Amino acid sequence: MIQKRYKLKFSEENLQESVAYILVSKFNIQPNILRAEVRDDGGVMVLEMKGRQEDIDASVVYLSDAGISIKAFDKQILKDLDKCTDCGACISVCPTKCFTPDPATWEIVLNYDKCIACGACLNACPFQALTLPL
Amino acid sequence: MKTYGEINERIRQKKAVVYTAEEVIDLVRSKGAEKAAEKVDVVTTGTFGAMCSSGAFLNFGHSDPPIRMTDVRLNGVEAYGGLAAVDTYIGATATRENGGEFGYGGGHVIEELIAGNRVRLRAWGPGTDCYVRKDIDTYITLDDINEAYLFNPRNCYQNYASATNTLDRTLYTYMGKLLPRMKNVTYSTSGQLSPLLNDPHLETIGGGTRIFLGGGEGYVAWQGTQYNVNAPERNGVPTSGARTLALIGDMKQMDREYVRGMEMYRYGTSLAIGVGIPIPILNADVMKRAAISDEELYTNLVDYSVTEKSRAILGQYSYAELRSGSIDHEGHKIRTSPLSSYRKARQVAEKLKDWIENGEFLLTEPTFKLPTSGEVKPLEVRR
Repeated sequence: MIQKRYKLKFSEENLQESVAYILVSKFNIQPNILRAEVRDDGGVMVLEMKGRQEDIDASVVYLSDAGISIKAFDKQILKDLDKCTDCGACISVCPTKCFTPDPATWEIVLNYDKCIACGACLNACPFQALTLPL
Repeated sequence: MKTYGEINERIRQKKAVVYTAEEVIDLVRSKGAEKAAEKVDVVTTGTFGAMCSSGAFLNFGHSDPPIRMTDVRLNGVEAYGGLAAVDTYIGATATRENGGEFGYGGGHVIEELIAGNRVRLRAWGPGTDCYVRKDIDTYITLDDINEAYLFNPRNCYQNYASATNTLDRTLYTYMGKLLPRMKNVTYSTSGQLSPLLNDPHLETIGGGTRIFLGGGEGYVAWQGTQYNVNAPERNGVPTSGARTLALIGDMKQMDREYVRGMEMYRYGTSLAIGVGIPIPILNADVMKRAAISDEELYTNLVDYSVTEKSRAILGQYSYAELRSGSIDHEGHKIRTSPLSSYRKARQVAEKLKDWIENGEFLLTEPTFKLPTSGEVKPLEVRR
């Protein structure tokens, strides 16, 4: 079993597709929808899939064929290292405890495996070093 | 017992023994303050955090024909127009109108100047017989202009309360994002590395003390605003806001690495500055105080949802506990965030240590002592 994160984009034509049901019934995937929103230019979903590698690959092909844009999304939060001062303001606002200080250097390390792309850290950063490209 | 003169002689000979305020903790624990004081000449401190009461004096030079600027904008941020013709002061918290989602303010202008970027200067004046021009629109850089120095009325707050929020909605404050129902705590200090926590009664730091300011050399100019010596103490160090410093330093020596514009969401803009102050180890008492550790330094926890000036104190926590990632408050674990970069505080203390070890930075004996009395008065609203 592996776990992978993807960013899906829907157009007006496929906005109402029930992605989660298809993934479960056809591909035996455990889907976890981290984020879903409908915007003026279509829909955006951040989806985590847990399953066998071949099932995940087949799901990606299926969704892509259905006209949904699907891209790997493993660096959900972009951290601008030039802007970040390692202050740590982000640490306590993150619900999944992604940000931890390195005990030796006090550099603030972002653990992408834990990040659920909620965006709670974005406006907590006084140096505008964090962005969530959806 | 050592004198400033003896320490400076050792610095000139590149023989001075310099420790950062963090490194010296273990030395004093193992050898004791007496022995450590014989060995160590200087302890360097450092901090890097938001210091709102900061700003820069600038002199643009005269254009041809000249203008007496009374209304001044730098990258759209208002600067003071009430000085002589081409002098101004730009404050860290002045904010550009229509700055977009994130604010852009005086702190960012100061950072851009120090980074060497072009900054747009627009200014207007009344037009007089001697200053005929009424407006100007040009670009400046730090190299182009005459003088540029930071003059910060209040930096290096000796201690500062940590913050939490008991309301059921998120608060956006100058102490950062405070989650509802005490879900987090923020604090702002470099603790055991912090300048005024390592010389709590200002035995060595005074007017004229040469310091590290924003990557260059600066000086202590005066006591800072809201200077207070009456704060309660624990282990000989104030547990709430106490002494402060007014600092001055040449921007042309500074480095963007240590001077950064910042914006606290829905609060406003500010400036983060790196400040390092050397402490001459004149005797064992100074040594003992400079070796204080986060375990011995405490601060109050305050509820920022109370808007009245007199906020209740919810508890008192050591910086060791705050820095551990969470505190235990009445049986509940509350997660913590620092707002001041410990990595950069260390970088400042290390840099100052390098300067001193290399004989490039001599210590100054204060030319005047900062006050031993003084308290913060409230502003009465009179009708």
